Amino acid sequence: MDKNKRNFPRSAINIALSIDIDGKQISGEALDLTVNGLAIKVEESISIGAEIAVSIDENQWVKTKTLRGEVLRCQPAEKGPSHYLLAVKLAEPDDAYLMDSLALIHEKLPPLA
Amino acid sequence: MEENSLFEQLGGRPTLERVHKVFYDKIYAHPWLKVFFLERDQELLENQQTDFMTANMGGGKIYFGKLPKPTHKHMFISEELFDLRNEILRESMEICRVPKNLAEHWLKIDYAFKHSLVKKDIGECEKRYFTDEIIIAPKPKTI
Repeated sequence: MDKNKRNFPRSAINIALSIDIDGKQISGEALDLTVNGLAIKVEESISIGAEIAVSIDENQWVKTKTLRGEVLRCQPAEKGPSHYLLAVKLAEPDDAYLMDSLALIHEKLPPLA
Repeated sequence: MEENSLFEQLGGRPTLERVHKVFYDKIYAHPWLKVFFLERDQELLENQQTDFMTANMGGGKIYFGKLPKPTHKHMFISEELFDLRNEILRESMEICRVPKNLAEHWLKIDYAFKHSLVKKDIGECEKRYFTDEIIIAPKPKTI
């Protein structure tokens, strides 16, 4: 990964979405985002390394409708065995997503200087 | 601990305007990079870039211009050119005494758009309209 893409903070969100994996649709919810990744809660496990398309419902944060990515991690959520948390690495997200996520991430930061 | 936007921590619009003035002065004078800016109004670009970065730094959604990819699709921007541009931005921030941590965040934002701009091959360039020209800037021998 490009070193300059690392370490962007994450920003908490709450966006309904659906995941397309090999033609199968799975509903989920994005819990936080960063410039090149999403944390998503789903109700079934997805294989690590799976390539997915994420269709995002209308929301106040992100205008982009579809993102592509790869599942980096899938682990049971604290809520119980019927929920899983996915860490998804996005594949070259479009400019609109970059702008929306950067705006959100940089809206409130602890003092940096 | 009070949280502010990156835009506010940098000192707001005056800081961005100052950096972009120094930055585009350097770009317009650069023997290689200036080729991409022939007949482009510098002040207009400075203002557009300031609006664009303001939005990306959490300073409000004030940018309504074209997105980077369609704006640059007719330009053959290699990785070397992109890195050179990024280095000039770094120098510009040093000249304007932007604190190092904040400058690093600014540069990271700039780098986030790299894949939208950089092309590996001239064949990836596209005209924006029928009579448009693909801009290719050969590297001057003096560099």
